[in-house]
Amino acid sequence: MVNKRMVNKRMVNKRMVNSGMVNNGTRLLTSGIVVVSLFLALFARLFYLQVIEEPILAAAAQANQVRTVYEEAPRGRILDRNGVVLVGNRESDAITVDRDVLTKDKTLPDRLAAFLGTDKQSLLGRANDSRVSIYKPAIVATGVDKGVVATFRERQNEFQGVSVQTLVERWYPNGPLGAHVLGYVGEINDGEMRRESQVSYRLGDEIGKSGVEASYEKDLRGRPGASRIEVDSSGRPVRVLEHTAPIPGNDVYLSIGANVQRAAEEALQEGINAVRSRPGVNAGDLQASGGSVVAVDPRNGNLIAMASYPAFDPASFAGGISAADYQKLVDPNGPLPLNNRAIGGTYAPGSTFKLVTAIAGLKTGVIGSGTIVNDGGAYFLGGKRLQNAQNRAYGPVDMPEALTVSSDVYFYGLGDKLWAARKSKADAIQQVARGFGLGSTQQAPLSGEVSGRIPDPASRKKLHEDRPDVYPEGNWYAGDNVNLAIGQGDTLVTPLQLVDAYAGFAAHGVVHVPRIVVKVTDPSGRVLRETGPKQLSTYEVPNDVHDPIEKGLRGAVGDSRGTAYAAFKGFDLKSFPIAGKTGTAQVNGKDDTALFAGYGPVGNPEIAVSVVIEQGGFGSQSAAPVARKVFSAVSGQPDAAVKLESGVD
Amino acid sequence: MVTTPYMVGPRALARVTESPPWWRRIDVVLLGSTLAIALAGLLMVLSATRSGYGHEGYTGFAVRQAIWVFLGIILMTVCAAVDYRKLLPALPWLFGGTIALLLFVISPLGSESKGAQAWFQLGGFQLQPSEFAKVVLITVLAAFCARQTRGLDSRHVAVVCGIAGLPVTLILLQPDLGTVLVFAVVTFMVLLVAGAPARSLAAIVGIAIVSAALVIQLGVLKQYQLDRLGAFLDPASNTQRAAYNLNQSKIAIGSGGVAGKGLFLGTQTNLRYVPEQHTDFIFTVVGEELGLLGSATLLTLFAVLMWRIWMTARDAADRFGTFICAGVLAMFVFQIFENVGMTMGIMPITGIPLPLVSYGGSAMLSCFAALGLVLNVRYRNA
Repeated sequence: MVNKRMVNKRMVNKRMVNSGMVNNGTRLLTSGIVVVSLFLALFARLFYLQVIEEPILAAAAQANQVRTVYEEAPRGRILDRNGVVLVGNRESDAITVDRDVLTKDKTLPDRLAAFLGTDKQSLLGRANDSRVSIYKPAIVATGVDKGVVATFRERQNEFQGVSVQTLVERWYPNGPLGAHVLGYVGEINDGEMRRESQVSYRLGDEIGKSGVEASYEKDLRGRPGASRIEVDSSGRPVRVLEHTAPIPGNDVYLSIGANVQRAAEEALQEGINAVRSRPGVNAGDLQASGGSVVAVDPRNGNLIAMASYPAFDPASFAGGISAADYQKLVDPNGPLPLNNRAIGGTYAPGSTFKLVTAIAGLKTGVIGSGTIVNDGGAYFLGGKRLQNAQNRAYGPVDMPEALTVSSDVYFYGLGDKLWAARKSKADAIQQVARGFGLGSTQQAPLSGEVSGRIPDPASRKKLHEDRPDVYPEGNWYAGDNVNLAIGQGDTLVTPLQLVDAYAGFAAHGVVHVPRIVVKVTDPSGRVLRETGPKQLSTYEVPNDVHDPIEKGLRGAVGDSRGTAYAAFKGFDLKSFPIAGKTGTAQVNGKDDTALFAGYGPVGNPEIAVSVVIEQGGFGSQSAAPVARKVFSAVSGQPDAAVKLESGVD
Repeated sequence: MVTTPYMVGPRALARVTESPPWWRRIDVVLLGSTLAIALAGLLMVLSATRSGYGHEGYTGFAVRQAIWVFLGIILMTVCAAVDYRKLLPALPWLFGGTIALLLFVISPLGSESKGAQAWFQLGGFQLQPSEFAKVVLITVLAAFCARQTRGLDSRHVAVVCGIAGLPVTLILLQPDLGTVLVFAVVTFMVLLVAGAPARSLAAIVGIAIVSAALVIQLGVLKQYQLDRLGAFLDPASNTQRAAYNLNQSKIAIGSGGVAGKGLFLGTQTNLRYVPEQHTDFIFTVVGEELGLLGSATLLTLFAVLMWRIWMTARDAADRFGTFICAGVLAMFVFQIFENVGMTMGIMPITGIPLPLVSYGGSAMLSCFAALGLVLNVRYRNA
C-alpha cells in the first residue's frame, strides 16, 4: 500500500513531482470536456421535462392529488294513487371508522366488535365493503340501535377515530306490500355498468333492479353530488377543493291503491293456503307453488293491483343483502320469489281462452249465438274421444250457456269447424287472440315481462325446423285447433295478458297498455310528468258478438249452473254485476293450473281481474274465490266466507 | 531557484515569484458556490420534510442537516488548514482505520437499513464509513500515483486497483452498489489523470464490464436493486415499486415547469408522492418547487464548483494536488450526474445522494472534507 518512501519529504518536492507528466494535461482537459457534456445532458433533460413534457406531467401531478368522491342522492319515493308512501327513505345510524385508525390501532376491531355485540371478522368484513369509497370512513355497522348510539356517544373517548354517521336507506312503511310492482334496489353490477355508462354510475352505486325501481330509475335516482378532494400519496384526504350537493330523485305515483293491493295480496295468500289443504288430482296435496292476481281498469288500463306469490321483502335489500340470502332468492330450484309471475309467468289459459274462441266463432259466422250443440260429454275427432272435465254432459247448449257451464264439447266443435273452414278462416282464433294482446308483451313499464305464445301453423312449423328434437311435430292438424279452442296445446299467456284481454272485451275491444305510473313529481311535489291512457291494440267487437258472450260470462258467475257460481254465492251481483270465466288448464306432469278472469260491474266496467294459481286444481274452486275477494274489496261488498264443496272447470 | 513547470497555468506562474496574501489564496468562488449549494439543500430538506411527520412545519430534519453543514464547514476548514502534503505520514493509518471501520460495519456491530449493512448506529445518529472511505481512498490513490514520478506502468495500475479493491470488496459485501460505482469512477479518474497506460485503462473498462455482468449473475444484487435497474430500462412498467418511484419523480420535476410551484408549495412534495425525497430524491423538490429556473441555477452552481475543482487540479503545485482534485472532481461529477440523472429518468436508480444537498451526515461531512482538500491544494499552489 503506502510505503515508507512515499512519506519521504523529498518525494513531494514540487519540481520532482511535476516532472515526467506526459499526458496529464490532455487527459485532464479531456475529462473536463466529459464533465461539461454530462452537465449539458442534465440541462437538456431538465429542459425536456420542465418545458416540453410539462403539460403532461403537470396534469399527472394534478391527477395524483385530486380525487372525486361521489355522494349518492336520496332516491325518490314511490307512492300509491292516493299518496300513500310505499317506498320512502329512512335515516339509519351507522358506525364508521377512520381507515387510518383501523389499520394502525390493532385492538380497535376487537373492542369495537365487543361493544357492538358482533365479532371481529364480520366487523372487518363490513369495513372492507367495496361499495364504500376508500376516501370515506369505513362503515362497520348499519341500522345501529338508538340506545347503542347514545351509549357510544358517552364512551366516545374509548374509540378514537370511530364516529356515528347517518345513512339514508330504502324504507318500506307498508312492508312488502306491492313488492313485485315496486321492485328492489341493489348494487350496480358489471352488465348494468356497461349499459348505463352514459349516465355516470360508479361501482358501488345503487340501482333499481326490478319493478318500478328499475323502470323509473332515471327519475328516482336523482343526481349524485361530488366532492373534489386533495389526497396525499397514501390516499389520505387532505382537504376538500370543491363540493356539489346531490339532487334528490323525483317521486313516482303509482296507479295502484294500497288497500286494493293489500286485499289482492291477502286474497292470493289465503287462496293458496286453502288450495294447499285440498287433495290434488294427481298425487298428494295440491302444491299451489305460485300464483298471481292482476287487476286493471278497463277504461284506461290503470293497474289497480298486482300480486305475485311467493313474494319477497324489498326491505331485505336495503343497506345490502348478504350473498347467501340473495342466493336463496335466485336459486333456480327454489320458489324464485323475485319473479313477478303476473308478467313473467306463462300459463295455458284453459277455458278462460273460450272468450277468444267464442268471439272468433261469432265474428267469422261459423256459428251464431243461437247455434245449439248437444253436449253429450264428449267430442269425437277422427275417432278420438275428447271429453269434458269430469266427464260431465250438459245437454243442448247455445253459446252463452256453453260459456256459463264451460262446455268443452261446444268449443271443441267450434275449433274443429274453424279448421274445416281454414281456406278463409285458418287462423281466426289467433287473430282474435292477438287483437286482444295475447301472446305478446303488454309493454308494461316493468322489467321481466314475457310474451307468451299463441301457436299457429306457421309458428309451429318454424319451431319444428329450429328445434326438431324439442318440437317433433311441424304440421298443424284439426286436433291442434280443437286444443287451441279451449286454451290448451302450446298456448301460453301471462296473467297480465289474460286480464288485459278481458278488460279489452269489457271495453268492447280496446286494449290498453298497463298504466302503472300516474305521475312523476319533484321532491317538492311539483308535477313533472303525467302519463295518460295508451291503447295497446283494438279488435272490433260489435254488440251482436259482445252481448251474447257477456251474457254467458255473467252466467258463469251468477247462474246456478255457472262454474263460478259457488265462489260468488252471496255476492250482490245486482249492484255489482260480474262477468267472468273460470279455467282449469292441464300441465304435463303437474297439477292443473287454476284460473279465473272477469270484470265488473257489467255495463260500466271499472275493474278486470285475473287470478292464476300454479298447481292449484280447479279454477272454480281455487282461483274464483280469490277473484271474488278482490271484487269485494273494490265494490265494498262484504266478503262472506265461501264454502266450496266440489270444483268444476 | 524555482523553475517554471510546463503545465502550470499563467495565474500560478504569476504567483510563483511573489505569494499573494493568504486571503487571496482562498478560492472564494468555490467556497461561495459550496455554501450556496449547502444552504439551498437545507431549504430543500426542510421543504421535503416539513409536512407529514406528525405536524405541519416539522423542522427536525432541517435542524439536523444544519448541524451537519455546520460541522462540515469546520471539517472543511480543518482539511484546508494543514498543508495536504503533511497528510502523507497519516495516510497509512487513515487507510487502515477506514478498512477496519468497513470490516466492523459488516460485522454484527453495524446495522442494516434499506437492504445494505452500511451504518453504525451511534445514539440518534448514523455513521456511514463508506462515505469517509471515498475521501480517504482519493487521497491514498493520489499519493501513490504522485509517487510514481516516471509515470505509471501496468504494474502500478495493478497496485492501484489492489488498493481500491480492498474497500470496494468490503462495500460490495454490504452490499452498496452505488458507492462501489463511485469508488470505481474515482479510481479510474485518478489513473487517467496520472497517466496510466491507455491499454491498462482499456483493460480496466473491460474487467469492469465483465464483473458487472458477474455481479448480476451471481446474485450479489438484492431484488430491489434489480427492480430499480428494470424500472430504468422500462419505466412504463408501473407495477413495480421502483417504476412508481421513477414516475412520481419525473412528475414532480416536470410539473414544476419553468417557474416552479413555489417554495413549500409543491403538491408532489407536500403530499409525499416521491419516496426518499429528502435523501436520494431531493432534486425533485428543487424541480417541482423552484422550476427550471431554480434547478438550472442549482446545476449551474454545481457546474461552477466543478469548474473550480478542475481549475485547481490543473493549477495544482504538484501531482499529488492534481490527483486529489481529479479524484474529488470525479466523485462529485459522478454523484451529481447519477443522482440528478436518476430523478429525471436518464440513469438507473441507485442509492447515491446528491452532494451537499441530500439529507445525511456522513455524506455531507465527506463532501466538505473533500472540498477542504481542494481548497488546501488551491491555497498552496503559489
